[in-house]
Amino acid sequence: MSTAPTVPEAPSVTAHHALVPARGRLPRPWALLALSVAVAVVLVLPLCFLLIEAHGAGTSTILNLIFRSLTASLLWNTVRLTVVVTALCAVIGTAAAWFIERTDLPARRAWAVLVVVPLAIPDFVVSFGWASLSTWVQGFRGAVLVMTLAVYPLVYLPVAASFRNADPGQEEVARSLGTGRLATFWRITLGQARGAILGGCLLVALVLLAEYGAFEILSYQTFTTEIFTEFNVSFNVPTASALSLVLVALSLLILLGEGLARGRGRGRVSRTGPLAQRVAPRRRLGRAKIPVLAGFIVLVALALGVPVGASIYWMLEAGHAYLTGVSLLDAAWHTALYSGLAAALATAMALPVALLAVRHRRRPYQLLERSTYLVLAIPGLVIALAFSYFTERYADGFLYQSAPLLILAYAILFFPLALVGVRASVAQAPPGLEEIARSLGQRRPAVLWRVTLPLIGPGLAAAFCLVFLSAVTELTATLILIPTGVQTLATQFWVYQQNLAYGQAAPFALAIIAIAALPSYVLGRFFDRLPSRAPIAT
Amino acid sequence: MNSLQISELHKRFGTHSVLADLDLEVPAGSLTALLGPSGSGKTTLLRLLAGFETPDRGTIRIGEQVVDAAGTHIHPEHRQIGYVPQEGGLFPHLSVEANVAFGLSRAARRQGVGDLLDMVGLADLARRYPHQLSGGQQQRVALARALAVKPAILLMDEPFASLDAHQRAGVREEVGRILRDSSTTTLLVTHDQDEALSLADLVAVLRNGKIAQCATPQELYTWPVDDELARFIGEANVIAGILDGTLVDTPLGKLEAQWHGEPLPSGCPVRVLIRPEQIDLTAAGGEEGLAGQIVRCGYHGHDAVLHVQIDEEHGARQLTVRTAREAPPAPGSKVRLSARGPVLVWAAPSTNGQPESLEQ
Repeated sequence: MSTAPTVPEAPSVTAHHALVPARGRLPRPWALLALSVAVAVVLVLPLCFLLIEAHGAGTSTILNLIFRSLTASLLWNTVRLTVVVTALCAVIGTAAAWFIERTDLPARRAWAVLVVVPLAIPDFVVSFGWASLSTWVQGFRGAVLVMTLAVYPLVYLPVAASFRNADPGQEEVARSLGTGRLATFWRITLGQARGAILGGCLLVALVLLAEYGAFEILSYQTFTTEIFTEFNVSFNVPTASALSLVLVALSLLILLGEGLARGRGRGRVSRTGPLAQRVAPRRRLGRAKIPVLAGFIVLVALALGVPVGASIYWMLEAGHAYLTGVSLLDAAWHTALYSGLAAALATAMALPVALLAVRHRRRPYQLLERSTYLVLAIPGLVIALAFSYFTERYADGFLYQSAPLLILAYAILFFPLALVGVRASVAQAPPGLEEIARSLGQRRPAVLWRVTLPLIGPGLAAAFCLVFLSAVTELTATLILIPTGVQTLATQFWVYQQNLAYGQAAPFALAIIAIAALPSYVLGRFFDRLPSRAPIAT
Repeated sequence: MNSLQISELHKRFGTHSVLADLDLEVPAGSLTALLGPSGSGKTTLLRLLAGFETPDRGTIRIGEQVVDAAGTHIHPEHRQIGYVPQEGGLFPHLSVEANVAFGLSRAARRQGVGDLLDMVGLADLARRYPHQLSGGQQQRVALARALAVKPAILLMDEPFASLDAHQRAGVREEVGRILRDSSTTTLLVTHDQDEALSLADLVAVLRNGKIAQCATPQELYTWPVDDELARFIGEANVIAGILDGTLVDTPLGKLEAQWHGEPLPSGCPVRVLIRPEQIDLTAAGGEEGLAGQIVRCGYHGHDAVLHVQIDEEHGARQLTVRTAREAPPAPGSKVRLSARGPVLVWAAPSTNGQPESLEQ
């Protein structure tokens, strides 16, 4: 699963606080509240289903299944991988961000694009690329290598944004107070980026807990691969439920831990002046330029060159004979259809929640919004299992393995991503502007059409792209929930890959990358433009 | 041209009463400043007038039209008000031209927009976008946009507060000129006394949810209704005195007295307002006036503000004196003070018969 860039870095727009009515000014928004609560209920459905399943199996059975040596070995595998990869990603992502944003590295703009592109490559494709070339890439060391290369952009993106926006004045003040260069870097520069680094690490850790395809290819056993096998191969629902509970608990633990760590660092990214958006001077690399450049070349070659190169290699190797054009088009169509509908649904679900939290600044509403981020802790596999089992067992097969269920699962899984985009866009349209439009003689529908929609449109598009991109590269939940007789790019790739038909799998991998690249580009443009679109720079 | 009449207006948020029994009348064609400290409810009043909020009680009348009363609430789009918020509130997705044209019909756009942009002096920026404008330019575009719909009344919420000090004076003057030329009835909210006094025809001071006084700037400065208001509008020395016919006996001399309302009897203890520029300084040595010592001197170029410590016998305190002398006396020098009338007096609150010597 490739999660999208900017979850912890929802752009904060503070310039027009005066246009946002103070707390308590507005009547209670009952309709919005009802819709938001309904969304929140839908979001907790998978967890409820999981608990019902576990309850059905009996508490003592579940406890026996949890407290045994298999759980311990899975825990050990999962935790050591999470710790090592998260640490590596933190170092690589932060270093890349610092060199690109803060030094005179040659061709910075090109590097800024190239180091992010791996996000558009599904983790299972990276894994496939490496594993198909060398048998050395297996097990723990293989998982560390592949996952680090696949997910370090999740740290790079927020940290780069934070370096870009950080106040250079603080570094100057530290230097003027007699702090050395290195100490300034540790205490101020990294201090300012701390929230962003933590946010990136959180995403990396959650992705690692939820990943299935890459580990399956590398024969590395984690909770996810084991749950998948128990459910899909052995049809052992109690065991799958029990392990899912542990996995969700682990994810929640990480989510809460990040929250606590972030809480201590609150307010560290203050600026000395609100407006003097001064760009930090770039450090001269001097003689370090060559080794740093070499480092970037190696990083991009490993993260981007190997998976793409391997796919192209296998496709050429196989020749045209294996290119089954019709099934490729068919799978691409279904991928685009399901992902597009899921993106539309997730965006629509996020709108009331974001409106409520941004426009009605009451504590309970903001808590409601916060609570929806808990979905981050529920891996796609768990959502899929819960839906699949529940519809089969308790709903008489209603919606079982149907397109609507798959789309709903996507929408729930990627809801937090949609919320980030929608929240940013709603903040672009302060209610004050709507009031002015009304004072100029415009009725409500005209205001919606001429002011509100043009303002939040780009942000809604970004939210749509974010979810679309993630759904296109999703494998785990898709494998379980895909309607019978239908294949998406990811599932068809998976079928070929499992049969070791690399030449036939490769075109599907490349198609996924191609489809995912477009929304990534749109997103990059949107988040780049965001600051200048903040209304009324005063 | 339309007048604005507000009577017995009430508004509370939750348990917090913001406006209580507020009355205000803004004459047609005037530029009236609504002055009050932050949090006094100025913006709330403006939002009620614009129709963004509904009052709990009271009547608002714009010209002949009742826009708010018991059972009546005219929506903002039908009120014919122009509203200019603090930062201008320009639509960020529209060009300057399109912002100004926003409230106009298609037919009116072609002619109207050019004229309006000429009026605010921004004709050559018509195709720019708000983020490409300076704060002052944004304010002028917002003003043109509000004036475009020929509002019955124009409401401006701290229009100059977000500008730099050096921009502010220029934009303020320019806006004043535009408003007078268009002779639009305007209510302008500000917390800056200087701005209110220099720009407005009338100044209404909002205090504790009511209008404490509404008067011309001169009247407000020379005839404030109480000493709190006197200190709010400019600097004020308030000292004790005893009324003697139409004169008042003070440590700074016998001065011609004026007061609000009913005549006050001779011998009545009063509080006397003496503005810093009503006090004259003479060098120490003479017998006339009150002896004091300069403690602090704030030099402003065109004048200087001196803080003078008064002798013990009159209750140790400081008086503020403004002098236009080229070389104000240095801190530490001894001086003598005397005041020039006429001065405003208020009957002193009775303090068990004992006249206070000099108090604040």
